[in-house]
Amino acid sequence: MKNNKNLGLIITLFIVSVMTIILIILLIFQQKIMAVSEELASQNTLYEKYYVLIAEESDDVLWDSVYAGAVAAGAEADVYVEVIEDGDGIEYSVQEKMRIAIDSNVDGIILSSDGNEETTLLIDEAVEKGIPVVTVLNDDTQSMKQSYVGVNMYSLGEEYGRTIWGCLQEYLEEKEEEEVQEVYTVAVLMDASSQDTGQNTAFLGMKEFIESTLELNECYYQVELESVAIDKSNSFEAEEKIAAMILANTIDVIVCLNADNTDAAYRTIVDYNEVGNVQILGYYETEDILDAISKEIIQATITVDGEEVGKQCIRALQEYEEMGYVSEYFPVDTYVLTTDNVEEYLEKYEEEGEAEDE
Amino acid sequence: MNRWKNLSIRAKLVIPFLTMSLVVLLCNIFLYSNINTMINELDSVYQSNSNMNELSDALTEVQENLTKFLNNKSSETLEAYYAGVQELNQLMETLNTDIYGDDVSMMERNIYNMTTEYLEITDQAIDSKRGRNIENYRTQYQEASERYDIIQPYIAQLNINHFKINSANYEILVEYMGFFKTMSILILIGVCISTIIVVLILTQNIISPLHKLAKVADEVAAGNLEVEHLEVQSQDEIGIVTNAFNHMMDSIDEYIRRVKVNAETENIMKEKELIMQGHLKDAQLKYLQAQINPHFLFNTLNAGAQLAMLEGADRTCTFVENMADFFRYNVKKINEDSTIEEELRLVDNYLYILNVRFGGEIHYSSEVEEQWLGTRVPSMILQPIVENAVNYGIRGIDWEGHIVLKVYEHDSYICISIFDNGVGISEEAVYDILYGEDRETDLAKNSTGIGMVNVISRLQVYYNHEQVMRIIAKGENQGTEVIIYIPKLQEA
Repeated sequence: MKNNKNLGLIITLFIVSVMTIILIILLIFQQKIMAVSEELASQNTLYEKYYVLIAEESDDVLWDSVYAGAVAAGAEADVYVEVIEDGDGIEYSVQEKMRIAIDSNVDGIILSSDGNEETTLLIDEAVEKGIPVVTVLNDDTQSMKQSYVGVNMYSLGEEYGRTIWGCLQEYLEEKEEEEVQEVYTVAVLMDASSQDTGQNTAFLGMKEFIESTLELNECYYQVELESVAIDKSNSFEAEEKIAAMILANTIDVIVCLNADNTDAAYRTIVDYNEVGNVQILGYYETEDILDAISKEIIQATITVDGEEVGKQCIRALQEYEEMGYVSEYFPVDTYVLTTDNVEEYLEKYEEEGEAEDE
Repeated sequence: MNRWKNLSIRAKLVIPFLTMSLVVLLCNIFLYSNINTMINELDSVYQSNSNMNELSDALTEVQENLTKFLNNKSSETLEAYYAGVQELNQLMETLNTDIYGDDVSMMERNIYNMTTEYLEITDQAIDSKRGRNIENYRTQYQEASERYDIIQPYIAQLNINHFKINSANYEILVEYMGFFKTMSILILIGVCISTIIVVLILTQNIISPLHKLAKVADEVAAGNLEVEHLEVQSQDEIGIVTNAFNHMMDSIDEYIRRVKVNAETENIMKEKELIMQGHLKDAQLKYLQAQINPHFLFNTLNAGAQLAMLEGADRTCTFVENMADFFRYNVKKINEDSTIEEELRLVDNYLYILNVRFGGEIHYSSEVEEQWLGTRVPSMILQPIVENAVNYGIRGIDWEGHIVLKVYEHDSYICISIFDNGVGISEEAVYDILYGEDRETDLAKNSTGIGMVNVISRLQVYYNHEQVMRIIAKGENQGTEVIIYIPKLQEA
């Protein structure tokens, strides 16, 4: 009797467990199918407003963090922020991007101007149509834009000048008097295609600061600023030009006015084994740039808080929408990163990296 | 559990089979419905791409017709233009116009807005053309073309984006299809295996009691009735058979017991009968004894003998002495056993008396092997036979009567043969004496009150043996021989 009872129990348990296992598998499967279905028919959050970011070089690291800041600030204000990007195989000009934005009837445009006259007209058209336009980092002073968020390029230039001077002093300290050259050449890498006046202003700021400083210190040596135009359409132009200058032994300091050129400059210096002989001043911060600073390949970099810039843009557009007017200029702070303070920035990147890994 | 045990074998087989079939069926329905969902998903994956292509085609048509109309101003192209616009509008209705947080939705919204803007401009151009406002329609056409050139690649880009997402989705779906395939095979294999296991367990469950039953039945067939009751594990058909088997074993046991009891009872009855006979004899003897005080009788006879001796009548003396001995033996030995020798002496006494009474008619002779004289026998067995031989054999015959008594060994028996040459006896009479129902009727006719039947019965009880006497009828007037068989083993 006991045997039989056990047998029945075993059979029942067996059938029940088989059923349970099958049921569990089926449920897991069903859930996966449902998940796939849901993924396919995903509906994202509905936003109230739609702002677009337009820049010539939308995949720049700096631009990325501006975008990130804008998205973060936008999400808080129920605004969806999007970069109008080039398509696969299609490259839109800033004007075309403006056209898309205007015809798409967006709620706000954040524009990094290319200084083109047509762009100015399009800004005006947008404003006339009731779409507020905020220029960011690269201003279009001629247009009817509502506001400008960015660095004062002249003071940026002065900042560079100050940094160049600091680097030079440091460099000269290690030299004997007879080793001091008569002329020190500073190459400023500039974007050839860009029609905006910002970098020229910055160059001017640099030049004036250095000249006045030299005069003030009654220096017996000269510092010459040389602008080098880099054509962005040629991917390796920066490397080629820097290499040429290194080989000609005509430069002592390289000043880069964007992150890409900074990367190109320090890679070339390392390749040609000129670390320490040629000094680099970078623009903006990437992990690579910070790493290069900590290894003293790059002496300093001047950076803005991209995310803060992005947030300022959204703030400007929001303010305009609410009040009907807005301050014409939102200044953005610049920071000089050198070996002395680079560590804390690197830590920030490491933390972010860890957070991403998680 | 009990309910399960009480189910019939058919139900026990059918229920699991149906259950498992149901499981298989449900699994298949489930899997099928899921595969259907997946196929539908697969079908719809590239739907958005096809929509985008249609949109792009419709836009191209509008642009082409606009160009044609501005060139030739024909009503046909105008109609074609409006048809294109209508189609475009219809296609645009499927586009998203809300602000969702993903680029595909936003591109759809932008395309919607841009196309709306574009269509406004083309409408203006058409109107200007009809109003012959050359300056206007030229700029408007230019503006429209510019927008067309932007919208088309934009749609293409959206198409590409859709395609990227769709491809990813398609890959996911294909991956899940593979997963699904493996899993459905696994599930089916699992269900099959479990069905087989359940069926094996069940049949084992059903067959094992049958094996036990067969084993026990074999044992019983081999003669061992002392088997224990089989355990009834379930109330199905096998349980019923097992129960029946147990009942059968019980019945056989009961039957055997009853047969035994009957045999015992029969024995007891027989014993009782014998005891009864003994009692009867005893009663008859007591009766006879009560008639004459034997002591008085043989004392008197002794006195008579002495008297005869004193008077010198020697024959009378001998006769009376014989009579005294005869009666004394009767009184003394009736309750005890005696020896052959004593029995023979009694026969001598008896025949002496008879010869005196009947004037020496009976010629008696005996041939005795002397080593058997001491053999113990029940008393009073020879005299009644001799008396019968005299009374029914030689009395009243015309020729000289002889009685011959022999004691001899034959096989494992001591035989005592009494032969008379009288009238003989019929076979019926022999049968009646040996096996007849009417066994007590001869009683009173004998002088001692002891008949042949009594002798036989006592011999049988004494030796616990059936074949104690043989009566040989030699034929009419050829005489009769009675042989008593005494088993020699008794002597040892």
